[in-house]
Amino acid sequence: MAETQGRSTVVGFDFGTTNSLMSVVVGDEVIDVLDVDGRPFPSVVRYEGGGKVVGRQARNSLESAGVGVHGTTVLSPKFYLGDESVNVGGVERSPIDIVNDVVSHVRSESLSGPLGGALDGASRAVVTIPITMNGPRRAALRDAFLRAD
Amino acid sequence: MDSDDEVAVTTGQGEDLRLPDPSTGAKADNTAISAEVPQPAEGDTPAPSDRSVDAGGPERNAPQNAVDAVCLPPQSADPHAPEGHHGGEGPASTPARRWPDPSAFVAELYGNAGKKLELRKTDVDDLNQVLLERVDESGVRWREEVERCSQLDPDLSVPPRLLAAISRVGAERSRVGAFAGDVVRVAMHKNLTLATAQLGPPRRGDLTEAWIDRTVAHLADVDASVELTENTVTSLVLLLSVDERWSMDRSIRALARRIWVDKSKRSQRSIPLGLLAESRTHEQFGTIAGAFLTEVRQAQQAVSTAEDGTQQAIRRLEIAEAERDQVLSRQEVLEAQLEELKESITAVESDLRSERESHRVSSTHAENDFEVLRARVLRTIDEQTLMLDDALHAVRNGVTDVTEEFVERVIQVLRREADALRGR
Repeated sequence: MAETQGRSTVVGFDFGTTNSLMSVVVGDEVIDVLDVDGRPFPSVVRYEGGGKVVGRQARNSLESAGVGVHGTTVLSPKFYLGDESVNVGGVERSPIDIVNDVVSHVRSESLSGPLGGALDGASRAVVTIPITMNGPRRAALRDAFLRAD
Repeated sequence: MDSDDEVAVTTGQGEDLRLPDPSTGAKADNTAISAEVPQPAEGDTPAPSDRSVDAGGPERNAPQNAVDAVCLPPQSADPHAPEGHHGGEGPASTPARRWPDPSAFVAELYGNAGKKLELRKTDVDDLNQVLLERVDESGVRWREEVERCSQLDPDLSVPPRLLAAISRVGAERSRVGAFAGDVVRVAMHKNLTLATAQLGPPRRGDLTEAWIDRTVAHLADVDASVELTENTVTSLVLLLSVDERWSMDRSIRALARRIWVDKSKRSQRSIPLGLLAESRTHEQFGTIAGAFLTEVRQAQQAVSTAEDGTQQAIRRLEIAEAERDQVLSRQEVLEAQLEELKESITAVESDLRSERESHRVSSTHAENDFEVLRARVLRTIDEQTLMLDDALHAVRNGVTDVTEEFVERVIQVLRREADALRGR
């Protein structure tokens, strides 16, 4: 647990199927940390060669696409947790790594956004999960969050 | 000397003792001892054979017979003899001497051991002449005579008598006085060496008060007689009083500390006050008492000075204690103030932390409200911009009723948003 000026903050992380966002309680209010357009971050990752595009930019490229892997783009990677690997554009990728890419993107964009100051001292998170998520999938989700820096 | 003025301060043999006064060089008349010594009647002329011995005291302890057998005074020492024939050395015109040479003086001195020695001024002059005339050829002989005769005086009774007699006539610093000192030193060297086998010769300049104490300690170690000890101390004090020019007071204290006090303690009887009152030796007692009164006054003055110093120290201590109490009281007040300040600082720090947290919360809430508003307005603008874009497209295609409907919708939305911004 990180501390800032003797204060530690535990954030809530809504890792959703479509969108994800972080929230924090400040005083007696809940602050939702959204992007510059006031919207949550899409849970989408697109791999381009050695690079990757995450969030709104990746989502915009697949405006009408549904859940799943579309070419090199993965929508709602949460569903793949617990699997050994996922074939994305001919490349076998770990679902934990894909989830980690989304979590890291949401974290960095939130901290650098207009309300990033509300997250000062945040080093731990309470993560929402579907009630149906079983033990191995929960463990995989925990590993993905622990890898986020 | 007036026999009425003598004080009963005895040496080991009851001999008279008169202390010299080096500061004045004058005779310390009548600081003598032995009231029981009979004195010749005034105007009496002692018989020739008695000239060197004035009314000898009780012949106690002295090996009188042995001394007489070896160290008889020469018959030729009679100054009233018709002509000088002492050894035949001097010219015929030389007046008759009481002693033809120093050895004769030594022989007579020890031949009358146990008796008080009385020297007159004429005797001193006589002996002075003898020493002047016969010093070269008699230097060895009289020393041998002293060594020989002193063996018959184991208690050293003669040296204090000789020094006392020299002192009475005030000849301590004359040639005769020096000669007497040398006689005493030779005798003491011989006897003390035999007695203790440790003591060196009490040569002129070697004597100190510490030397006296060391000598007394050695004599005590060998269980020497009281007489030997007292005569030794008396002789040494008399020698020191001349050699070191001791004051009368110092000499008296030295004798009192080493002889008189102990002797008084050893005495099993106290002297009746009436006997002291009838004493004819008030002058001597006065001299001794004066010395001790001086010492008492000095001690009282020292005590008074010490008491004054003590009082001053006590006053300084009281002042210092009062100052200390004031400082302690002030310290307590300051410590209480410090505690209050610390509590105030703690309270202020707590208030500051609360204020900072409150500010942070308020600031975060304000930022959040702004972002929510900004996002909503931005979304409204984007949506209405699309609506107006569609209306424009309809106008260009001649569908004015669609345009009218879209524009009315946009106007309604913008009015609601404006009202919302106004807080209605």
